[in-house]
Amino acid sequence: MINNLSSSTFDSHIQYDVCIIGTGPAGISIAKNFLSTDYRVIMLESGGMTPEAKYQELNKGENSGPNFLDLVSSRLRVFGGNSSIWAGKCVPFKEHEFTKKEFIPLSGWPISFNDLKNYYKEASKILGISFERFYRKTYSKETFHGISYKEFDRKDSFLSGFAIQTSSYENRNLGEKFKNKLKQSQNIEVLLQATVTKINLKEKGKISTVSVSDLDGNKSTINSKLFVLACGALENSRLLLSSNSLSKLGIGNNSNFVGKCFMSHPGINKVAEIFKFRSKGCISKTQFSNDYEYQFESNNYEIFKNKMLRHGLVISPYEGMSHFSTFYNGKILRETSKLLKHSSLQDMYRKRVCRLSGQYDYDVIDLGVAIEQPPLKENYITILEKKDALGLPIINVHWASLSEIERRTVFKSIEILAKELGATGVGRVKITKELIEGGSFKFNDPVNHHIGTTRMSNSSETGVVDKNCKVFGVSNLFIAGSSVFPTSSVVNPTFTIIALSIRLSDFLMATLRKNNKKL
Amino acid sequence: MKINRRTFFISGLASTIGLFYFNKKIFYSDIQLFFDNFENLIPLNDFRIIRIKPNFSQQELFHRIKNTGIQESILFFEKLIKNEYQHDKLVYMGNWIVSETEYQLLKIKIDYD
Repeated sequence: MINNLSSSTFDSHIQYDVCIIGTGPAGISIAKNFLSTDYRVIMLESGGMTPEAKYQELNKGENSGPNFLDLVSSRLRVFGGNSSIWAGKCVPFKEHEFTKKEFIPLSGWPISFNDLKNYYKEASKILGISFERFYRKTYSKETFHGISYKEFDRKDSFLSGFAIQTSSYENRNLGEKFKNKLKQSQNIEVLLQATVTKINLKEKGKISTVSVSDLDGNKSTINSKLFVLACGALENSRLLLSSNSLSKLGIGNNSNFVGKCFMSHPGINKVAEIFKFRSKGCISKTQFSNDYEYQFESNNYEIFKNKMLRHGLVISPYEGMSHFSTFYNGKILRETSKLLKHSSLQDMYRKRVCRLSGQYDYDVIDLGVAIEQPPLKENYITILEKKDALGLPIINVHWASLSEIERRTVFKSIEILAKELGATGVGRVKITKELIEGGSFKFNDPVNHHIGTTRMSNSSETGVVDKNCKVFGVSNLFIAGSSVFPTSSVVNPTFTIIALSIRLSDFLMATLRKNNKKL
Repeated sequence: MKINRRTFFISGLASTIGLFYFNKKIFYSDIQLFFDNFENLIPLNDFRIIRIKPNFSQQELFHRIKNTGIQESILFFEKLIKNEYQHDKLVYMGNWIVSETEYQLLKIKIDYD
C-alpha cells in the first residue's frame, strides 16, 4: 500500500520488520524480495509520486573543493528515486576490482566478484538485460564511429574492452515498474513525503526508531527491527553524521570514515584527437544497436604495469573546427592540391556515398577519458551548521583536484591508445595542447555518480559497514547503495547497486529468520 | 674528328655535371615519390625538433629506396614504425605521439616539402 505521512490511514504504532529509507534502485531492489512474504516492511520516501520543487530544495548544500557537484539536480526526491532519470547503462565490475592493489591505498573489497556474480544475474533479470552478453567475445568485433574493434582484437593488443548494455526505460524505471505491485502489497507499505530527520540510536548499539517529517509540519516515528539506509551516498552520510545525539561524530563513525572517500567518475572530454588513416569502408550506424556499446580501456597488464586506475576511452565524432585548419594552418591553397593528389577520386566518391546514405565516415575522432577515482580522504562530505526546512544540517561537498594517480591514468591511457593505433596502423593521436600544459585537468564532464562515504571494509578501522553492509557497532542498521563501494570502478554504478541490494535483502531475510527462531 | 684539349675538358666537365645532376634528380624524384606515397597524418607545420638519437640517416634512406624500390621501402618503414609503436619506442613531438623512425622520416620530409 502507498500512503502519505499526513494520511489518516497511516498507523505509526506498527512495529515493522524492515524499514527501508529511500525508494530508489537500492530500496526497491530490497523491497522486491520481501513482496508476498510474512515480513512487514515500510519504505520511506522523502518526496512524492512526482518530483516537487519544495522537496528538491532539501537537497541543497554547499561545495568547498575546486570541483563542483550539483547537489540539487543530481538526485531526485521522488518515488523510484533516480531510477527514472538514470541512463540505464549496465556493466558489472571486473574481477580484479575486488582485490587489493598496492598502488591504490584503501583498495580491495571484503567480498569477491564470485560473491556478487549470482546477484548480478538477478539484477540482469530485473533490468531486462543478459548477464552472459557482457562476456560474449563476438561483440568486441563490432564497430563504432569508424573505429573497428576488430583491429584491436589481437594477441598483443594493449587494449581490452567492456560491454555496456542499456536497460530499456520500462525496465530501468523501477519506481514505475514496481509501483502497482507495491500498491497492492499486503506486507509492504510505502510512505511518501516522509523525510527521515534523525536516526534514533539506543545506548546498546541498536536503532530504536527513525524520526520522519514532511514539509507541512507532520511528524512521526517509525519502529522497526531492522533499518536500511538507501538514500544515496550524500544523504546516507548526512543522516549518519547528523544523528549525533549520543556520539558527537554521529552513527558508525568511530574511525571517522563517514562521509570520507567520496568518489565519482570524472570525465575529461576532448583530451586528444584521433587521426585515422584511410577509412577502409563505411561504418553503418545500424551495426550498433541502441542497447549495446563497447568501450575501450587499457588491458589489465597495462593497468597493473603502469599502476593506473580503471578508465574508459570515450570516442565521439569530431566536433571542432574543420580539421583542415589543424592540418594545414594557413597553407590551404598549396596543400589542397596535395590533398587532392592523395585522395583518389574513388576515395572521395566513397566518402560522398557514405555520407549520403547516413553512415559514419570520420577521419578525425575526439577522445575523452573517464576515470575511476581512488578512495581518498581528501574528498569528503561534512555537515554544516546551516539547516534545511526540516531542521536537518545541510551538507558540504569537498571534491579535491585530480590526484597524481588520476592524472597519470589520463596521460597513460592516451599513450596506450596511441600505441595501439600505431601498432595496428589505424591512426595517430594528437593530445590537446591544454592537456599537455596541465590546463585541461578540470572535470568537464560531470557525472552524477555518487560513490563512497560509508565504505565497506573488513575492519571498523577502515570502513563504516562490514561485508554484509551492516554498520560497524550497530546491530540493526544496514546501508544499501553505492555509498558502500570501497572503490568506484569506472563503470556506471547502478547495476552493482542493484546486485548488492539483492544480496543485502537475502541477508536481511536470513537475519530475521534467525531472530524469529531465537524468540 | 679532331678534339682539342679545351673541348675535351669542357665536354668531360659537362658530362660529369650532367651525370651528377641527372643522378641527383633520380634520387630527388625517388624520395619525393616515396614521401608522396608514404601515408603520413602528421602535418609538417606541427613538426618540432626534439632530441632523439637518429636511427638512420637521409643517405641510408636514399640507398634503401635505390636498392629495394619505393614500394618495398614503404612497406619496410610501415612495418618498422608499427613495431616501434608495439615496443614503446615513442616520442612526443609537440602534441603528437609518434614513433622514433616516424619522427626521423618527418625530419627528412621537411627538405622535400
